[in-house]
Amino acid sequence: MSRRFGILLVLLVCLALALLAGVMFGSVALSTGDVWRAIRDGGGPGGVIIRELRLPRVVLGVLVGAALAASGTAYQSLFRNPLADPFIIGASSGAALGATLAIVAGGGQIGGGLSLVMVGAFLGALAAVAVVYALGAGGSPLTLLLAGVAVGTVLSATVSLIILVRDQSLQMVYYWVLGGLSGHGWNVMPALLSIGGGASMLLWALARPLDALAFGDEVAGSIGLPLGRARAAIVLLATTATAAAVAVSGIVGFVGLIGPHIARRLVGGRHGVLMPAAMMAGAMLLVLADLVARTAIAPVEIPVGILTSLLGGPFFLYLLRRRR
Amino acid sequence: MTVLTVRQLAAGYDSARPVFSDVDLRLDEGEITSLLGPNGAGKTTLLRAIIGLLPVRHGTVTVDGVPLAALSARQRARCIGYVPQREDLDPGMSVFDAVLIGRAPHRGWMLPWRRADLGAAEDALRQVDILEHRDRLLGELSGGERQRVALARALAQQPAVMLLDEPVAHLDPGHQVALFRVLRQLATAGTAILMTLHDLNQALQWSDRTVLLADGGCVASGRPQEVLTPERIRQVYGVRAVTGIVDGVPVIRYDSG
Repeated sequence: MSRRFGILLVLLVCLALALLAGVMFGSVALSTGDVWRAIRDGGGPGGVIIRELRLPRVVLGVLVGAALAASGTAYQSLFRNPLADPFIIGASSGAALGATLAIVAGGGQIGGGLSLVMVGAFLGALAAVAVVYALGAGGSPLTLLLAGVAVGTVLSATVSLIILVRDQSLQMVYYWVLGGLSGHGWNVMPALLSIGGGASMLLWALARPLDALAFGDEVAGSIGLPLGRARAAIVLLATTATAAAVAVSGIVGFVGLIGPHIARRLVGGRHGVLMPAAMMAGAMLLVLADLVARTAIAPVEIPVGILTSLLGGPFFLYLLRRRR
Repeated sequence: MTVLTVRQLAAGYDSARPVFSDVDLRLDEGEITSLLGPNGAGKTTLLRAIIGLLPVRHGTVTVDGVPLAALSARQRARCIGYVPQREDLDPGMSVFDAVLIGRAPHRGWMLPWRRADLGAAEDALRQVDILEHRDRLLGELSGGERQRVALARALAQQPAVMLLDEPVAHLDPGHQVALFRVLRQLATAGTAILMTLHDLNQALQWSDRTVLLADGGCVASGRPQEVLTPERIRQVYGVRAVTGIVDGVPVIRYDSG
């Protein structure tokens, strides 16, 4: 118990260090003193850079990374499969279609830091998973998974078709799908924090049902878990967290797969501890990946989704080999 | 005293063709009942129907006179414990956590555990003699130890009725006997136990009553040596058998010819 708590504290310190690095490094390197002064009174050489550019960016990384990791952790329990990720039942292709439709419709800001593309992506993800759930809910998690694959394929094909017909939207859709944390200020945070962060916290509150589901439907049912309602609540919350995250960041792959895995290795399978550990690991991974993405070949910025997939692909293979 | 009564039960995965129908069964306090029958006779289906994992097509199941249909999932789980034949154990969970989750029917899904819940989980671990392994991870356990963890989880529910699906299927003889002894102690303490078995000799040695399922219904029930006659074994399992007595316990030997 105290060992797990100690690991959570260590993770928290590591996350704080990742945040500090994310704020210090970039096109202009700043010192810890600069960071301290900028946060304290907004002054100093990097005041504006820190307050208006880097700080919101790392906070965005934390929120998106944590939401994706919480969602991935929930799906890994629900499907009893360590290879499950936030996009396993169609959230990413739904978000992509929603974003594409919004881009084709002209995009544009709708106030409060939110854009039509964000709303399209958010609703697209929710709608896609709702369709998958309606098709596959009666059956086992496997039916849900297969329905997810089928619906995802149809939606992705639809995105390709739209791009083909309206080829001037190609570049914008492409950039959106690659995923990234750039170009957002503080004003997206309230919506992201309340929806994505709120859904993640509620998933944490469902730690005990998630524990039960990890033992399989037979055991979970025999200890009195209402399976249908529990599954529906978990899918709804995990999808809401994912949808809120990708609406702002685009499709950032593998953070929702790797974060939970690292956490599971560190603190074990009990979701009361695993969930916060996974959220911190996911947040840290995305902040660090984003730091590399904007400094590796500066001034060119790599979309962070490319980077997480570059690193995540090999890790995925490593997992597959270990499972044999 | 009768704790659980099954009357004219029909259940199955397909509503048009139930796996069995018209099954009657009663479980008494302090008794071990063995549920026998060839593969596909519906033994597991019957257990799953009793705990509400499968829709009941016809008939009733009552616990202490109350129909299960009138109970919430949580109320039902306080009355009936279940140990499935194989369970997906999360390898990253500790033994203690895996048993503690059995307190959910008493404590619910949100509130923090009370001292009484922790105590009940420890008692359950002590009953199956694995308290010293409480902090080990499930992934590190042997098959016999895992089966005992599963039983301890069901014990932590403190149910009046315990259902077990082939509890000794993957255990060596030493662990089989150890598990049956735990079940006997449980029964002596007042629990009504129903377990499915394939080994007829185990049914003869360890159960007080036997229910034999075959051909979509209940073929016979009663004391094991009365139910398991050579004619019935031939009729239900399609093998010839001879029965005898060794050290006062009836035994069955199958004819190899």
